[in-house]
Amino acid sequence: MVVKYIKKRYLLFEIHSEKNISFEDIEKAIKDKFKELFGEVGLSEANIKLLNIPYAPLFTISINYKYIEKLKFSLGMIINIDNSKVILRSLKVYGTLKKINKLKGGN
Amino acid sequence: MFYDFWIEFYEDKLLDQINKIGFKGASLVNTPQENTKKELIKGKVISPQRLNDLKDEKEGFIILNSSDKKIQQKAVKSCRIDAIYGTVDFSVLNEMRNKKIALIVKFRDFIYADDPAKLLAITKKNVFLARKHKVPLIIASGAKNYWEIKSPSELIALGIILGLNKKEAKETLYKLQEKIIEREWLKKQGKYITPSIKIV
Repeated sequence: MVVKYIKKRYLLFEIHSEKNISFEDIEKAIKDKFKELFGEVGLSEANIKLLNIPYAPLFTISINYKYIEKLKFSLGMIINIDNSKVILRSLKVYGTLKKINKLKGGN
Repeated sequence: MFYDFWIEFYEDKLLDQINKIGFKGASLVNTPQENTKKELIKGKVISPQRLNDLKDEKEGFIILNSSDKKIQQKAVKSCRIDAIYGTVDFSVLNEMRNKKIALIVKFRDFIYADDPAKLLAITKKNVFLARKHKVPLIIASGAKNYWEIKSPSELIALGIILGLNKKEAKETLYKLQEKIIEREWLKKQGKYITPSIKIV
């Protein structure tokens, strides 16, 4: 069976918060907000995965390239995680993980 | 290059903070703070309840907050306003285009909306009309504190969700704003007379 390859993009974003927030909470908040705005179908098609690279407070989200603007909008809509005020600021979109890995001094 | 034209608070390091995010300047709406910097201009929201409440403001970025058809018509024809916030009536769109009066959209409204889907639908319709009649658009954060300031990429993303293409969405953050900043700077120096006349 031929399966169509989904083009992915990697969104680098930074997080500012009043207190420390766990990786799981950030992922949950992003997915919940995306689902609230674009529904279950949107979330499944977007194929969102939060990656713990390059280093905190910078994180990367892997996503279907068609949903990149919707993801940026969702990040902007998040103002609270775990009763703590937060800002999730999208920085740059990458085509591969190679350049993001270089940010932490890797290869 | 980009400007956030609706920020409702002031801190000493505000300009540094917004520069770091990617904004060159901002309009400080309804803040009493006086500024000497070119990039920070004063803004004011006027919300007239009746036609007689409309007054001509002399300086600053003036936003009309009214969805009343008659008030919008009178303000667009006879008052100096720069933008309209709210549902725009069909009858004022051509006049808005000619006088370069923008339709302004705030990101903050979507964050605190009871029904974001409904608000998105209404705003999308407004933006569609504005785009059709070539009325300038401004997208701003509407931040009331540091945590509500949005980066240019998020405001551009909102523009794209509202039906603009990427180029148009970027233009909502600088095209008209640059002209307003320049106008206000000339006014501060006493060199501004009318839109087409200035003292050299």
